[in-house]
Amino acid sequence: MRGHVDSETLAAFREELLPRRKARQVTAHLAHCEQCAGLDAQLADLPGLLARTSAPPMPDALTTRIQAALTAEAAARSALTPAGAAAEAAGTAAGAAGTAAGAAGAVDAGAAPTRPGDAADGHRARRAWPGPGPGRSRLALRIAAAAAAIVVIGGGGYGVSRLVTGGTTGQASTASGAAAAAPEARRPAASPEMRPAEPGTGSSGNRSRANFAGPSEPAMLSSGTNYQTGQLKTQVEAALAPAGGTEPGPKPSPPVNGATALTSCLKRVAGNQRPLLVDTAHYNGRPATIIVLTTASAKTLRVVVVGPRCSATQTDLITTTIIPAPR
Amino acid sequence: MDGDADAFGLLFTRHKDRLWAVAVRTLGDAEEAADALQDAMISAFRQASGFRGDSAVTTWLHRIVVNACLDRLRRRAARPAVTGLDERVMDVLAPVPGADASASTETSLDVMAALRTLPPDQRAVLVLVDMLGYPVADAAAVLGISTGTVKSRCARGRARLLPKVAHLYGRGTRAQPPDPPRVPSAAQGTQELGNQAATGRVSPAEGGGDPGL
Repeated sequence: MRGHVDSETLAAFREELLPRRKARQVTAHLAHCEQCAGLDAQLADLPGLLARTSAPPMPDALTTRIQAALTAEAAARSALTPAGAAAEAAGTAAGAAGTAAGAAGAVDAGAAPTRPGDAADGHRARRAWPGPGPGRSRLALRIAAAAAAIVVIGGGGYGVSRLVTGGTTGQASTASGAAAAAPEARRPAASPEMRPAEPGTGSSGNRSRANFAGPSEPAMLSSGTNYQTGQLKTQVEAALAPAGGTEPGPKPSPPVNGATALTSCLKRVAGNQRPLLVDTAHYNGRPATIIVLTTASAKTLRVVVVGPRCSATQTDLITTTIIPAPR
Repeated sequence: MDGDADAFGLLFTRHKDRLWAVAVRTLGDAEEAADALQDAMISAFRQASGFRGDSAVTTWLHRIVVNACLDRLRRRAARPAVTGLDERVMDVLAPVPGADASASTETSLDVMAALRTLPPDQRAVLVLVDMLGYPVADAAAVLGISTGTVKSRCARGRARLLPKVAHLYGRGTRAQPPDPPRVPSAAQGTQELGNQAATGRVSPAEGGGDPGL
C-alpha cells in the first residue's frame, strides 16, 4: 500500500466498511506504520471521549411545561369546533403552564393571536420556560475550583442603562420577557412581542443587538459580594439594579488587580460581546468573577462564574446559568 | 381522549430523560433542546391516536425527537454564526450527577463545540451511537436508515471530528482513553486535569485553535 491511510479510510476500516482487499492493505500498513497506527488509536478512543461528554439532566420545569402543553393539546382535541375551542384551550394551557412553571404563560396566551387548529399547542405554554433550576447550580458545585470568578454576560446589546431603567421603548420584548423565567415573581407587562425573534432568524433588528447602545464600558465591580448557589439570580439582579434602588447595589470600583488577566478572560468568555456586569467577588465563599451577558433571548441573561485562573487560554469555569432578565 | 392523554403522559414520563439526553446533545443548547422536545412531544401526541404501548413506541418517540432536532439544526445552519461567547455550547456544561467518568467541563465544552461543526446527519449518529451508546441497529431504526448507513455516517463523522478533538485526549478526569497499543502506558495515572502533554498526542490548539470559543 502506497502512502499513509487517511482518517476517513481508517474510520471506515474500523467499522468494517472497506472491501476485503482494501481492509487487508490497511491492516498490513498499520502493522508497520507508527503514524497511522497512532491515528487509528485516536479514532478508537473517540467514541469513549464522546461518551464521557457531559450534559445537564432534564430540568424539572421542562417536564412540567411539556405536561401542561400535552394537557392543553388534549383539551383542544376533545373540543368540537376547532377554532373556538382551540382558543379556549390555549388560555387553559397557558394558564396551567403559568401556574406550574412560571408567571408568563397566561400573559403569553393573552397576547398571542389565536390561529385555528394551532392555538392550543405548546408554542404558547413554552414561553413559561423558567430557566435552569437550582439543580444545575448544585451540580455545578461539583466542579467548583479552589477559587472562582463570576461574570454576567449580556447577550446582545442591551446596555446596563436600558436594563436598569427598565426601558421598553422599541424593545418591548425585553421587559415583558424578563418575567418569563421567574416562577414566583414579576408579572410581565402584556406585550404583543412576547415571543422574541429566534436568534438569527434574519431580522436586522435582532442582529443589531450587537451594537451596544448603552455605556461604553460594562459595570466593573469589586463588590465583595459572596454570590451563592441558589441566590445567584437575586444577587445578580441586585448588582444590576440602579444605585438608589430598593436593593443597595454594590459600589462600582475598578478591579483591584489582575486587570490584564481579567481582560483576557472576558475576551475568552464573552468574545466581542460586552458584559453587562463584571464583578470580582466570591462565589460560595471562594474568589470568583461573576460575568453577566445577554443571551439570544431578550428574556434572559447568562451568568458565568469563573475562577481566578480564567485567562486567555483557559476559562476556569465554575458554573454558568441562565437567569431571567430584570425588567 | 382523556385515557389517551393519560397514557401518553405516562409514556412521556417514562422516556423523557432519554429523549432529553438525545435532544440536548444533538442541539448542544439546553433552551433549544427544550423547545425541540416539546414540539416533538406535541407532534407525537397528535399522531398517537392508535398507540398501544408496544416496543416500537420507544423507537418512534426517539425518531420524532431526533427529527425535531435535525429540523432545528438545518434551520440554524441557514443562519449566520453567532460571534462571541458560544452560549449554546455553554448550556451543556453542567456535569451529569454521579457520572464520575465524565469528562471535565472544559473538555465537554470543547467536544460539543467540535460536534457542532459536523453536518446534522453525522452529528445525529454520533450522539446516538457514540455519546449515548445506542446499538447501531437501534440508531438505524430511529433514523430510518440502514445499519450500513449508520456505520458510514459514524465513520465519516469521527474522521471529521478527530482533528478537532485530538488535543483533548490528554485532558480530562479519571477516565483516560486507552493509550495506543504500541505506546507504553507509563503516562497513565499521572495526568492532571488540563495537562494535555501526557499522551504525547498534542496539538497546539489550546489558546488558539479551540473551536467555538
